[in-house]
Amino acid sequence: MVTSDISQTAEVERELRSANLAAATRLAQISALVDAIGVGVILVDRELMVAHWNKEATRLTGIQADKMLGQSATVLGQAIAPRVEDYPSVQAHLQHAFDPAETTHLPIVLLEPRREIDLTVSPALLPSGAQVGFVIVLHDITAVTELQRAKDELIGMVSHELRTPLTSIVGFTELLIDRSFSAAQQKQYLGNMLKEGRRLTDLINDFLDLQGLEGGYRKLDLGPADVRTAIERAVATGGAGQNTQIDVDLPEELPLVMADTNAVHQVLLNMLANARKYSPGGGRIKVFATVFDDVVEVSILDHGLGIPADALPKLFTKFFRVQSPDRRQISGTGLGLAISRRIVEMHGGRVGAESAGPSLGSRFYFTLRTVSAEAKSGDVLLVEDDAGFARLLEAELSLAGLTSLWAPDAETADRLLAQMTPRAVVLDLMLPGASGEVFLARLRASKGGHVPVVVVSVKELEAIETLALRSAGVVAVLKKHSGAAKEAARFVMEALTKAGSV
Amino acid sequence: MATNTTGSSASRRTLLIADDEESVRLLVKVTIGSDEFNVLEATDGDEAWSLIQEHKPSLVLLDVRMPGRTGLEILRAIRSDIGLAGTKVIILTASALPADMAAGLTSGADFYLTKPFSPRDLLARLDEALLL
Repeated sequence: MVTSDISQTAEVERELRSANLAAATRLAQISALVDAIGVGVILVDRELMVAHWNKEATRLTGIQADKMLGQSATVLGQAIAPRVEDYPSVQAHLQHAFDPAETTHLPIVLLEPRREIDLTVSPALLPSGAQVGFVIVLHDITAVTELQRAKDELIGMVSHELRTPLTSIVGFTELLIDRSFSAAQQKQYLGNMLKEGRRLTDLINDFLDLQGLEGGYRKLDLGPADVRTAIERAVATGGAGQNTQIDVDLPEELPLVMADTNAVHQVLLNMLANARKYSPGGGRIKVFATVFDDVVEVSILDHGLGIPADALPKLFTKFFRVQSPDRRQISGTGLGLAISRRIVEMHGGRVGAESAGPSLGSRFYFTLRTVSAEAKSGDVLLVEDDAGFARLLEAELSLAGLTSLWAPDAETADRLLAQMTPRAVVLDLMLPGASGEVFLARLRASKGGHVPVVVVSVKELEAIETLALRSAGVVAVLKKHSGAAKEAARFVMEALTKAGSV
Repeated sequence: MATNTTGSSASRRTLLIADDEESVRLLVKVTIGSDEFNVLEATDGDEAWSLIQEHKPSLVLLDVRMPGRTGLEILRAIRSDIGLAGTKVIILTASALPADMAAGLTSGADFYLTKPFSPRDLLARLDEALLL
């Protein structure tokens, strides 16, 4: 049966071809898999000839796969020798690594660029147990060891910084218990203990603050913010000292920026405090702002001790403090600028410092992005300094199908009103700058004369105050509590329905 | 900042406190208390080294992390200077990692105290060091 033989042969050939195709496909898949696993993989066969060399192996060693495939382990050793730190000792270890019974680990260092590698040699076994060669895995642990080193260093620094103030607290306490001192001496030593105790508190607070920012536990509440208000608030709370004067010089037209006003307040206070601290002879401090395209750059300029050029790049690093005799008496945790940098970078901005040199003063600056046009609209304007409550209101209003725009203070709200017309306003009374009542009066006198307003406040209102708000057209006055956001949203909806605008 | 606690007298032994923390220098000074020593103070490593060379103190209380020369650098300099062979050194440091301690002792410190330290312990080590 010739015909049947022929058809059988054809059948077998077809099967073989498809088996070959399946095997080739499988090989390509496995090869892609081995390339994608992110560690260097080199396979050598039983005769110790290189049988596979993946992409990561090429990246780590700088040696192309085609140079190595089919080569002996000796050739591999020669090729890799100049790229391995202390190759003779690595070679000595490797001689015992090709053990069919177990896996061997060896830490090695590859050079140019320097990388720390965990090298593993394990026997490659078939399911039957037959050995077909060895798998050499190169695991790049540079990043992990660097992270570990940075962590150890940080622990060392924190421990040093905590122990220093504790020395005075513990030491003087023991002395005061053990010995008798005059009243004046006692007072001096207790004063020292108090100072160092406060320093310890500052340190712990700053450190936790920074950890919160770095660990992502502290989130920003970003919204449109008025730069002028932020600066004036910071200057009012943490500004002038006994012999320093602060000049604020801002352009007429400052665009709104996207910011968490409390976080920016913290950055401004830190930079103002530094400007004062490092100007022991006094001198004027100037705060100014410059607008570039879509960012506002805020600068704090002082005429104090200045900064040596080699210290400038390290200023924003944790625990870094400029060392010079004229700074000995100036205390600090060494964390303030690291915190400021983190906050500004979380805003998508940049921080920096410049100084012409020692005793020539310095300029610290940071940038904030301006608010884009589309971010300046919404159905309801929320004038509320409590970011958490503003978020609650936003959520309740969005359930009712209304969008909101949040202003953390009356000044920002005024600025927003110049560019948009909300359908309703939810207003807090106690605000950082102008009060809610002042804002309301301005609103009524402007084009937004008829917009419905709901007041939500923690303030205990006298009957006459409520009456005044009512006569200014406030549709509801609510006390701030957990359900207040829901109620406010309901009153907003009601007012809009009455006005026929929903 | 070389300060003598009382009028200097040739018979009294000289002791140097080198620490950049004013509060720690005060604590050490009060701990030592008595006027049997002529106490000098240095606020950084470079000042410490020049005072050591000039006054050849019997005992140096040395902080490790200081501006200028570090405490360990000064310690090595003392140990390799024949003219300072009799100088006793007590290290007072806030760096308490095991590696730091080992570095301090192998560099030839007589004693190594970790901050915060007990003034009682410091006095005991001081007496011991001066008897050595």
